[in-house]
Parts: sequence; structure tokens; C-alpha cells
Amino acid sequence: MFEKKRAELTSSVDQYDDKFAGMPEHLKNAAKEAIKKAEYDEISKEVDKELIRLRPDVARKQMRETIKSKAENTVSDLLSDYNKDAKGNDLYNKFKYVLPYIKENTTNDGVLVAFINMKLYQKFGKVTDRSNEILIKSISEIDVIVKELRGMLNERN
Amino acid sequence: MNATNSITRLVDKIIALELTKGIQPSELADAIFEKEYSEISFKKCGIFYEAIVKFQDMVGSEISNITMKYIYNNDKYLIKIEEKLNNKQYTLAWSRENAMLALCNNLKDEIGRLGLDMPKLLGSLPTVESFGIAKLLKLVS
Repeated sequence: MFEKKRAELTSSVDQYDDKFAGMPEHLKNAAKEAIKKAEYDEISKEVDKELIRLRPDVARKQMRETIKSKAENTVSDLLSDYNKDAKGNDLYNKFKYVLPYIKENTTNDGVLVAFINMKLYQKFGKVTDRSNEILIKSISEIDVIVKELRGMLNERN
Repeated sequence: MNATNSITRLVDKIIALELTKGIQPSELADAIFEKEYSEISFKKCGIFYEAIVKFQDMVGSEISNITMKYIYNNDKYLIKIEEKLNNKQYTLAWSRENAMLALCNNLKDEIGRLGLDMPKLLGSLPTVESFGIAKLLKLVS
């Protein structure tokens, strides 16, 4: 099975052979190697663990970025589902007891993002103290938190 | 997704994992020129090769010191990654064996749903001996 795939990759490199016509031999080989590496890299993307194909700092940054964008996206979904203005501040009163550090002028999207971050912090600790494994768990934990948020928003509406 | 679809998908993933060598020592070594990295070292441990990479991760004003240990076999295949955060212990971040096992188990479940002959099918999957030995090595070291 694996050999078949390898053979497939080699032949996919060979199919470009005519494109190299007239190219000096040493350049031809270099080009072939580069294409082969790119093909293998493409397959590696199938493996859904960034850590094994990226430099560790890059993998970590990417994971943090995913958490951030997922939190922001779910918050904007929530706001539109409940007809709230992202830049309004009517959610302050609902959350002022659970989030003591938000201010009266904190915007609605800020309140919800703060809530998600607080929940993640309670469960997993500081972002700087989270291992890769925990960062991955944080990403899926956001779904759980959003369910809770929906419950809270329903309850007091 | 129906069963045959998800089986094809899983088989593709197994093939992908098998063909993926993982980040190579040379790529790790190049990272020393990045400002986040403080130390990168390599050594031989019996039939394995170990890379230790130290770097800092900055989130706002907070800094964490992270040490990663990469274990390779003779064919330059990445076998295992361990991670150490600040002053904590090393924890397993990834192992090829576990990853493959997880995929095979998923496949087993999917095939089970179709009622096919499992042992025969699993017998047709190749095994690479040295991947399993990484676990033994941990006991020794």
C-alpha cells in the first residue's frame, strides 16, 4: 500500500520530465528533488498534527492564533444570534458579577471574549503554561463554553 | 459521511502518516538563527537520535521557556516528541506509535461497522519495528 503510494509520487515527478528538456543535468536533478519534496510535504498536511511538521514555535503560535480566531468567530455568531450590537455595552450588567474586571464601557464582544478566556484560564491555566496537548484541548473546549454562554444569554433575556 | 468514505479517508491518513518523516533535524538546526531560540543540540542514543530544542514563547508580556525533545530513528523518521514547559516535567507531545494506533483503532471501528474480517485486514498493514522500540528506550534512559 505504502510502496504503491511512493511509486505514485515518483511517477508524478517523472511526468514533468519533458518540461525539463534542454535543462542541464545537474539542474534537472535539483528540480526533481524539489518537486519530490513538495509532493511529500503536501501529503504531510494530511497528518493533522502541526507539531510534527512545523518548527515548535511556529506550531505553538499557530495554535494560539486558532484559539483566538475561534473565540472571535463564535462570539460574533453569538452576537448576531441574539441580536446584540458588538460595540454596544448592554451585556455589561449581565456579566459584571462573573467578570469582576470588566468595566461599564466594555463592549459586548469584549465581554464575551473575556468570558471565554476566563473559562479557559480556570480550566487550563495561563496560556504560557499550556502544553501543545492542552492548547489543542482549549480549541475544542470553546464549543463547550459557547453552549454555556447560550444558556446564560437565554436565561436572562 | 458513509462508512466506505470514512474508511478511504482513514486509509489515506494512515498512508500520509507513514510517508511523513516529520520535521527534519536540519530544519530544526536552522531555527537557531531565529531570535526565539536559545539552544539546539543533537546526540546519538544507541539506535536513536535525539534533538533538544530550547526556545521562548512570548504572549503579551508573559514568557514561557519551552524545551522540546525530538527522537529520530536511523531513517530520519521522527518517532516521538516530548515537551517540557518552564520547570515542569517532560510530557509526551506526540508519538508515531500512538498516532498510528489511534488511526488503526478508528479504522477498526469503521470496519467493524461493516462487519468485515478484522484480523486479516490488520495483518496486511506493515509494521516498522523501530517505531515500537522508542517506548523501551524511555524505560532504559
